[in-house]
Amino acid sequence: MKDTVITHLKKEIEGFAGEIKAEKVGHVLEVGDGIAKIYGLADVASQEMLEFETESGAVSGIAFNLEEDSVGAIILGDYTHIKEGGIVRHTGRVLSVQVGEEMIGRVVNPLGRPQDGRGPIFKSNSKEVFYPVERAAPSVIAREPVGTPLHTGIKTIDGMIPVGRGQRELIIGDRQIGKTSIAIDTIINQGRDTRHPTPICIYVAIGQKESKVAKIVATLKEHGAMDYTIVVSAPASSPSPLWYLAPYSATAIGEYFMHQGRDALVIYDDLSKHAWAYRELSLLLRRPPGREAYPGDIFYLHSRLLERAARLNKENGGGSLTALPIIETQLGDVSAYIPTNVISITDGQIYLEPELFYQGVRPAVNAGLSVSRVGSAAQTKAMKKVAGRLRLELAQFRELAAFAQFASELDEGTRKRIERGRVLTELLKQPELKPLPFEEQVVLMYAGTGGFLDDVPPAEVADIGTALLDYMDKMHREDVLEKIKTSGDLTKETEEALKTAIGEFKKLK
Amino acid sequence: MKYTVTQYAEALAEALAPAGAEKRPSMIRRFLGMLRKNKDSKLLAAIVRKTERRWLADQNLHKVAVTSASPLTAAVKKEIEAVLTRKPMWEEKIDPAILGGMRILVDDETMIDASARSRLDRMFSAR
Repeated sequence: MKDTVITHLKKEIEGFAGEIKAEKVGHVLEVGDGIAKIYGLADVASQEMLEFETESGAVSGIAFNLEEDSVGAIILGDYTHIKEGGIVRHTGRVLSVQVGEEMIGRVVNPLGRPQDGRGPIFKSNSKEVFYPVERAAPSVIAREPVGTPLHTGIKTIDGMIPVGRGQRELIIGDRQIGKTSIAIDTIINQGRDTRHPTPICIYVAIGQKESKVAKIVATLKEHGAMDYTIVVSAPASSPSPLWYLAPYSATAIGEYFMHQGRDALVIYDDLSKHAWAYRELSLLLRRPPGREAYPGDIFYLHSRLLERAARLNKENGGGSLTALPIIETQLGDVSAYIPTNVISITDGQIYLEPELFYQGVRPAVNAGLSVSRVGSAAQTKAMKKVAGRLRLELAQFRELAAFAQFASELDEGTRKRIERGRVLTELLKQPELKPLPFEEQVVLMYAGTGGFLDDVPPAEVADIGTALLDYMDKMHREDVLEKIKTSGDLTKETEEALKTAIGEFKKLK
Repeated sequence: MKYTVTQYAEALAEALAPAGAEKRPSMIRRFLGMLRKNKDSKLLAAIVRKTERRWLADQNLHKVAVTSASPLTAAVKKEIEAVLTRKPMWEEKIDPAILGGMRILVDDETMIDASARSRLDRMFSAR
């Protein structure tokens, strides 16, 4: 040990003269709030990593604005040690994060460093794989249409707004309405969905309270979901450059798994805060403000991020990266700048409505305003059969319910439709942290849309539904549930078996 | 009309060049007055940097700032001078904290760091 240190030192000292070289440097003109203005650095490239020399070691940054004779940079770390006149070097590298299997189950910051107090992520002798934080999205040639479902375990979503692997589905709604819950339920359900390989889930917390992140990690751990989840956290206390970087580095981690031919799911919670961070940086760097004081390239900020979600074709490994961005609206205003941008970028949105939430419809998904542009291509055959009618019936119910408020006497058909609508609305309610396997969802929806629950008072629908699933689990696991699960289809025989099973169940009640 | 930093710097350098040493302070005072009148005082730092760069080029000089642990010997200076394409304008600083060797900064942008301190730092920060 001693010998190796001495030979190492000797080599270093002997090589002293040879390794000295001239380099272009810059000087810090101003510094503050996570940004710095630098004079010099004539050869620096845009987005290049910089190193600020400080008394307590080097602090890294990224060149952002290249001006005539100054450079605007964002600082990734503690900017309080950087002084005016300090020396800045450029590195010739772009920002990248080390990625690998070892990250699963860990909480990291946007630079890929551990945040969970469990020591280094990578073993010192392991192979080092670095992925650039910014990367061009896969081209059209490398892609394939989305066709494999990613079951969220939430009835409303899997039934009416299906999400496929490689899709980008926006979750949008006001504060405190259950956006994060949908995301967490989806992560938990991935471990239980045995029909498809479990995707690696990456949860990105942007500007959230550390207590909330800790709570989410604890919930995921409790449900065994941390075995396939990575949490990237840029907490509220971190400077805005890290908020800005977090989704990009999380996507880089996801891309690593996608390139391995596996599925990955990235949840960006939330992109409104990400846009704020970018606005802050842009304004500090004196880029011209546009609408709502966001800079001109705010659309590109999100489009280049979400374009990286993809389903690769067989020649490229067949992996996928699914993106579930979250946007927080102010007082339900979906026509604000950032919400409209992200709605237009994604392949559909899940719109959560406060009114429904307060009526007790939880998850408060507005089935009328929510869409999935991938549609039923991302549904199993069984789900397609039962859910096709669901969407239609609920749409008719909404129309009639508004109309029926004024009419006191309704004809038989209308009354029945409204009754059915009420039953279905009740049936779609679902508590938090209780994702349902898709075969059970199929049974419930079949019972609901088939009219088997029409005679049940709405208040009892939820209990009857639970009892039905319990009955099916105990009496018909083999001939119905397992068949739907393994084949993904609701064949004629299975349908008959299901129908008789529901009949038997109703007789018992 | 708004002037750019480059325009100010060029005008200042051209005006100062032929003027004698006794005239310069009053010219600079007038220049500062003009900046204030044009509400461009915040550009001053940038103008000074640009003017300095231009002046150095005009005079065929290099600004050579050397930080060393002990005073430079004439032989070392001569060695440095031999590498440069223009004549040096020395700016010397003694800083025992760099331990040994020297740090040379040419024209505020090219750095040759041959100090023992940075060597040691690099040795111990390497993974």
